[in-house]
Amino acid sequence: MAQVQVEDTARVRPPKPPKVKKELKEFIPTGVKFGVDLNSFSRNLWDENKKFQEYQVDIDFRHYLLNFEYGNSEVEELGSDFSYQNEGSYFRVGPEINFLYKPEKLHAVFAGFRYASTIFDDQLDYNTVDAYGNTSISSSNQDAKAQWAEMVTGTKINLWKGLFIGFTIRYKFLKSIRSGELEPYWIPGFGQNRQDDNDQFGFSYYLWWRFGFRKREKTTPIIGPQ
Amino acid sequence: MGTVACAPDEICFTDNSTEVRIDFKKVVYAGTDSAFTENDTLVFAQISALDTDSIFMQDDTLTSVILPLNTGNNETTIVFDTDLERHTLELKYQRTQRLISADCGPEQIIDQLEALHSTFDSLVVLQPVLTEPPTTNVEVYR
Repeated sequence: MAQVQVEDTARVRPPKPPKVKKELKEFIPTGVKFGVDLNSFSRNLWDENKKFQEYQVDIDFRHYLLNFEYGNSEVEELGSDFSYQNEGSYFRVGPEINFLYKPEKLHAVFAGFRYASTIFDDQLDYNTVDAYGNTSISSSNQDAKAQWAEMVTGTKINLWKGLFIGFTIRYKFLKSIRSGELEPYWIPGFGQNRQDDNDQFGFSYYLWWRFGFRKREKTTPIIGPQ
Repeated sequence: MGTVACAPDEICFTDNSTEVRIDFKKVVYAGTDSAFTENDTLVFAQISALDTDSIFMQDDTLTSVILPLNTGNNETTIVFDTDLERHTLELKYQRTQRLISADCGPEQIIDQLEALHSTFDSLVVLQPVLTEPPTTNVEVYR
């Protein structure tokens, strides 16, 4: 009886992709961006009663960014029988995640969070006429404070060499204010303090210059036993 | 270049007021164990504010009255004159200033209303915040 040779069949499995090792040094910052909010500066041109300026610094930690923002504002509202002045400064700090991260590219599409705080002075002067006659009322706050939180999203696009442009959309919430006998009309960095609306949206349009001090390293694959 | 957050249309509506509502009450005893309160009607020759030229009412019959408080001060003393007697009610309150908007102008918020002194038999501060439309802030009993 003839024997039928059955060939051994070896199933060849495709090689597993190499494990990508994220070395700790990849999270060391490679550069810092310094920027200005063009939206704030452009408002100064068409509203003579308001002056704003805002600056931002961000530092990259691989696909995370840490942001610091500082600004100050002067706001004045004038009516036929009243005047209101507000002057103060604010800062924001918080992290972002860059969903577009690639070591060789510097663009960012991000989402993140901010903690914000402000300190300011304001004053309201007005005349009133009632059953008691004409009364001049003056009320002010010295070193009033407010803080709030923000959820942010936006882009940072590398136009040319170190030049970046981009925008940030903000949702501001959890506002809390410490003030005296004058309820603030304006909160620097937050906007108008509306009685019936504690949350607000905001928009910033930035121009940055990035100073790189270290090349970004590509992730190092490990090749070895699977 | 960019847009800013849009502000809603300005609405010059406020539910804050600088007027206090005072209701006049009396206690009616029904038997030895029960009593209830009902509105009291007083005939006033004049209702005015102490140390001012302000006269709010003259020759009127009232069960309640709405009177303006002095917005330049944290206290107002109201004088109630009938043909037979004079009563005073000294009220103290907290004033907070607020700019509603550039178009609507400023307003005062009056709260923490309390009675410092009164010549009525008794009184109760029911609502220490002055609102529009007015609700009863003080009930007085003579």
